[in-house]
Amino acid sequence: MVNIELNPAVETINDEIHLYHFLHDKFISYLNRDPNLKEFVHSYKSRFKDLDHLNEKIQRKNVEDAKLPKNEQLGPIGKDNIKSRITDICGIRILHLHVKQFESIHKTLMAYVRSGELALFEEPKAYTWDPEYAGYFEKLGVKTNLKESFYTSVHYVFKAREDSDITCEVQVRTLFEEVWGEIDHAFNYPHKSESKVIQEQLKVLARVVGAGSRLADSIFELSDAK
Amino acid sequence: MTLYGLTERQLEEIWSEEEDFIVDYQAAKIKYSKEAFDKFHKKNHSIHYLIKPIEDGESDEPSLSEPVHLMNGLDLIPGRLTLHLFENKLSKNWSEAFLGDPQAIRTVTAIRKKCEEYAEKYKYDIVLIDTSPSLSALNKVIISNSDCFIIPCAPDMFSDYGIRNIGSALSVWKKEFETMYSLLSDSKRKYFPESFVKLIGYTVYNAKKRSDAQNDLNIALAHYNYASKIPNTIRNHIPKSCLIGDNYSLFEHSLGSNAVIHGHGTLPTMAQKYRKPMWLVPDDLDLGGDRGTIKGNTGKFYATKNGYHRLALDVLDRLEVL
Repeated sequence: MVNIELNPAVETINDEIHLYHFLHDKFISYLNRDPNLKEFVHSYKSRFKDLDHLNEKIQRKNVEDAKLPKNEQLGPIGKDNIKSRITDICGIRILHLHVKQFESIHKTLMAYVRSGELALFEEPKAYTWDPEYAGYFEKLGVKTNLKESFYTSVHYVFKAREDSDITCEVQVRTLFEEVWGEIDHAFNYPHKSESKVIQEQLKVLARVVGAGSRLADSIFELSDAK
Repeated sequence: MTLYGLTERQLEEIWSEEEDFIVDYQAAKIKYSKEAFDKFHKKNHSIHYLIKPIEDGESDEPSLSEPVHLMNGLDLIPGRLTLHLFENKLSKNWSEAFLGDPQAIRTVTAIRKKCEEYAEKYKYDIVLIDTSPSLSALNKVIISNSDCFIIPCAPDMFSDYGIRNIGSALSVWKKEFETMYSLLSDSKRKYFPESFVKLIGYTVYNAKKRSDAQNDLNIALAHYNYASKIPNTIRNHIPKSCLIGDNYSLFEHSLGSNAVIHGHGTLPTMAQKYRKPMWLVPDDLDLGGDRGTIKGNTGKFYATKNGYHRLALDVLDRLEVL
């Protein structure tokens, strides 16, 4: 058990955790009430980072940072920079049925940003290993990272306001992608599994899930075309 | 305060005519033709009627009802005992306002908005809200959304503890409003005042006057013991950020340099009966059976004027500081 009182950075978060809760509740109220989001969001889940484990994450990130070339290092995480360096104290995951629904979800979320009801901490990023989907996200103006790890999701980091430093990470992905993501997470987080078999099987599962995603899209596209 | 401006009969007429609107605003409104409603709406109404569309989630009326005109430069919006219904709605909406829900923010800021609309239309310099002596949800939003407030204190133990309670409530309310404010978009922040409410002073009332008293306030010792504690209680219990001025000097004495601390006996009862300030009561032409009593005490009635003017001037000076 980590004593959070010993770490001033964690204490900073602990002192303002109620603000993270309010931002979480505000976002959830959009998911529950906005007619567009209600139509396209299949389900969602959310979690707050366990502050006892936050200290471990800080240490892990500091070790990773120290290994970087000097000019790429961001420096150790402390009470003054924790809110900008760890932006997933509050995390919400939005699941939808097929990829093409993402466009409506994305546009609705960005409309909240344009009206000032939410602000972006950083530009949204799409992670995908599939070049076809990469093209789709790019077309919607979402910067895309082609990942070797088969991880697929679009990440947003929202703030309550432009001048706020309270953030909430929102991940948007399909139900198929969720299946792969959850299984991968079970074996590779926080420490990557050293089993070659597991890593190989995860790659196979990614292809099965990828085919499922593509098939779902195709079914809905054909149905719309009728 | 309403009964100092209206007769019971006048108040009952206002209350009974708007009764159906208090039950269900829209259902009552549709019973009227447009012309009839416009005429009805223009008449004097209570504050509850005015904010009822907001309580019911209906759109607000584009025009304001006439305030009750009391005298040159002084108008009144009557109170209404059913305001607890609005308070219920307020309590339900409170947590939603933190999430930026438009209807909740509209409810939380309804009374301030109404005050601003009246002040703009009727060119009022000051809107004075007479609240009940409690720290209820309704008073929380009324006080927190005001620019300033005054604490009237009887010289007794309850006022001493009352100030302590106000102090701790203010700390909590300020934190809540700051939290809410930190999450709201610019477009929603404009419904709230720019800075949190400040205490501009206190006024002791009903202290027993004793010309032979061995204290600077000339009041009975039992009352002096409590009245003299108030400055310290304010200093120790009201957050410094909720007080006007750079130091505590404005809170060393009751407003108007202790001008109105003494009890006035039955004079306020007569003022209420004739709906006039105490110093104007003897000049009322229709005193009926009270004529002898009032005329015999004319000097006492007139003498109240100076103290209340000093109190009012002190309030104006403090508003300048604000």
